[in-house]
Amino acid sequence: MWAKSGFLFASRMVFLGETPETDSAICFDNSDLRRLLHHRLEVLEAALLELARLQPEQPKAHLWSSPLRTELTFTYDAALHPIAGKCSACGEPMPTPPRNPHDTVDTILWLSHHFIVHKTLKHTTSAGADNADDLPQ
Amino acid sequence: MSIQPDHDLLPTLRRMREKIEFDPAPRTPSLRQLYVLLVHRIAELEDAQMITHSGTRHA
Repeated sequence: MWAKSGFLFASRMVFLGETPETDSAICFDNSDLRRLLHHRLEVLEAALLELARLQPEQPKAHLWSSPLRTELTFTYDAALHPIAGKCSACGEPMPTPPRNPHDTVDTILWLSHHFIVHKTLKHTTSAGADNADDLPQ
Repeated sequence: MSIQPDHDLLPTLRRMREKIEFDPAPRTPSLRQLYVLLVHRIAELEDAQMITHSGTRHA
């Protein structure tokens, strides 16, 4: 089932949306991964096939984040470098990362680590379960 | 029906990241955004895996 789904997914070269404008800040969350994969399947095809081979009996719903879960939402500058992030559940912004346009990975990791701590402190129960759905919006 | 642990995805996500990093073609906007989300997801999974192994979070 997984392999079949992977091939079907790879074969659906459907352009689902316009490329975002670059003159304004754009917010993406992890739920956009599924849509973004359509654009460069020639690069990612091998990885998708590996995903399909991982465990054929497993559903793939858990691979990508549900928009209802607590996620880090990125804001991009005109050059599509991430410049800020906020929590999708409570809207709390992450601390502003040091500005260095040559170190995109460092900026991502800066935001990621702050989000991980934020999620642990404010959106995780003692049992370790994500309780974002229980928070007031 | 069992659920695959998220940390099992780490090798695959890392390979996806490497494919993007070593892709000689110019990065399209969508690929840049995908790369950002991949790096973030890998960081999250690595953190979860580290806690699983050590039982504590490292500041």
